[in-house]
Amino acid sequence: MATIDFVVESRQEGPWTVVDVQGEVDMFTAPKLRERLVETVDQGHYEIIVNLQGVSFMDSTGLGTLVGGLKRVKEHEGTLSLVCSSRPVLRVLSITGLNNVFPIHETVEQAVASS
Amino acid sequence: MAPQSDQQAGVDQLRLAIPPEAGYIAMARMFAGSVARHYGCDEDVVEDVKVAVSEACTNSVKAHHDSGTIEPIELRARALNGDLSFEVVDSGRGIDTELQAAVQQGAATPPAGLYEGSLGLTLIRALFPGAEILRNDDRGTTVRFVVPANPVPERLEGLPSLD
Repeated sequence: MATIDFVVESRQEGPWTVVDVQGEVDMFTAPKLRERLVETVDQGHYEIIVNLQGVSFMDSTGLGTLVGGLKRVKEHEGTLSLVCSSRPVLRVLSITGLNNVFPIHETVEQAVASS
Repeated sequence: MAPQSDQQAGVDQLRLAIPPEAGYIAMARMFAGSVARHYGCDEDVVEDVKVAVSEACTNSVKAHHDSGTIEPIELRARALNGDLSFEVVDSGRGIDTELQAAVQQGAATPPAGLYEGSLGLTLIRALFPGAEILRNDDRGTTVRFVVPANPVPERLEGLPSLD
């Protein structure tokens, strides 16, 4: 099977957990992102910024993972926002209407500043 | 798993068969994206093709897993008269007929919170409105969509011909 370069890492920026994603998010790689989001919430962090600046592709499996993360944080009155300026990713967010569901920013700094 | 091509009567046909495993969906996207670029699609269209193929292959992988089918999923590309058609053909359980009817009738994008397979088909139709989702005669499903030929730009009025 082909090796897929997909990396998910998280860090703290004050009260926010920034989840940095690199690579393509699809059926094969989305579970890793899902796992990180679940872990983050289980650890009591409910203010999450998912940084998709390093994501070159996302399909509906990835979108579903983000929605799942949003539902989890909302159960704790938390927030989940996205950082994204990649045209292909913004396009699928727009077609599905999810650009109206998630706050979307161009940089992590902007996401932090607006929260 | 190697790509194959064949030609008949001026039609370019390319095929890729992948094992029904999620890890190969990226390969299907690479193939489809390369084909789209080769035939002159601009980058926005290339990305749309990749999304549509990824969605179709995702559904096919699920269908094969659900039915225990180990046969490969086939991705076919045909260039004819400038149009470029893509098909993803699987041998899974076949699309649910109710879902098929809903998607063919242009069911609205599901609201956020409903993400079960049907969103992928809805996304394909949003990107390629004429996309067809068909139950195969023997078994499985074929998803077919066409990238129309780029229209030839009309000469602007008043500009000299370069002919």
